[in-house]
Amino acid sequence: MKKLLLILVVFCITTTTVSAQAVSEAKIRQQIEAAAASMKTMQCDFVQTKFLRMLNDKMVSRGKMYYQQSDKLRWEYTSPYAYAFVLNGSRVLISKGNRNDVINVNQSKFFKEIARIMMNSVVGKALNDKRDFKVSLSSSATEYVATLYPQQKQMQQMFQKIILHFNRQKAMVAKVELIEKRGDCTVIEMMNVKVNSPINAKVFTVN
Amino acid sequence: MRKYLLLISILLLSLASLTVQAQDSLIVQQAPLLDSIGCKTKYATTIELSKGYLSGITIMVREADVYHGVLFNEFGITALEFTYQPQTKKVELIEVIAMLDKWYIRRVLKNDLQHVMENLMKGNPTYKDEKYHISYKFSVMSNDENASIKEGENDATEE
Repeated sequence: MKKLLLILVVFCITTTTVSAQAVSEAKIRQQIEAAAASMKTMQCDFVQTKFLRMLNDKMVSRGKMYYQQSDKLRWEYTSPYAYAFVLNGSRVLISKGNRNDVINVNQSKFFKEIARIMMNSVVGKALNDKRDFKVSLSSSATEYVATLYPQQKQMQQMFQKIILHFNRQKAMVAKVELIEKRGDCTVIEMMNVKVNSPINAKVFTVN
Repeated sequence: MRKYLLLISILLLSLASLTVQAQDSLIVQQAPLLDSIGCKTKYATTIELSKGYLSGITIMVREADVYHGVLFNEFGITALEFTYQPQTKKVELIEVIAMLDKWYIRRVLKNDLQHVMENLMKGNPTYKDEKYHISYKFSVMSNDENASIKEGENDATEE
């Protein structure tokens, strides 16, 4: 009888914990989704640090990011090199030095996927994209952490996982960690974030 | 007549040495790869193919027996990791990004990187694979290029 009671108590505790977790995960997803939906524009500075496991070294790059709902993104490095990736609808501009290359993403499945995943990760939509990632969520006092495990072969070949850190108050991405298959890692931290301020259309020009 | 011949010989010799000097100055465009153990050099790297190009940063470290290099693109994704043994002039590919990881690409890369490394040791930042029409450029990045920008400047917000 005692044994039965113990099993019953353990079962109740387990199901309560699971359901509490499920509710809180759903709540986090909902909060992030709502923040992404209300985000018409976003711009920020970023610092990207690449950690090289084998050389025990790192490389720091800086730049600016601009996003406009629903299909415009400018990811621009300003130091120590000048490089810009501009996505505007189905067209991508890659600009480096004097060289400008325009690509139609509809003609390259790989590019189309990369562009879609970049956009979804920047605003946090990747959390609900079951086709691309298996997601595990956790939270602390200051942030939500989403760990994304790639499901697509091409992404699996590059990344072990992608970790998105969300500011808990704003439910917006504050830091991205890209963990590669062999252990190298790239951390992108976003700063001076401005949401829903008008952005000059020229920023997204693809010529 | 002998005087003439001598003059012509001197003239030809001077011209030849001038040409050699000019060639040298064309080839040596940057400081040769550092050879002290632990030395590190960063290169802005471009690999141009007939159908497109790859670009990124290469970090090269001189280890006890080899140079150890890692090439990653601007977004930080590692594309190549290799070692170069200067005594034997042998290149070993440790990692090649999945989309380039084919035996025939590895063979070309291995061969080309050997020439790239030989050129870098002489201070020549470029190498052209004439057979496959691939151009490599490894330009030394100065320390100034690591200078940071002031965040928040020059944004595109419309007032």
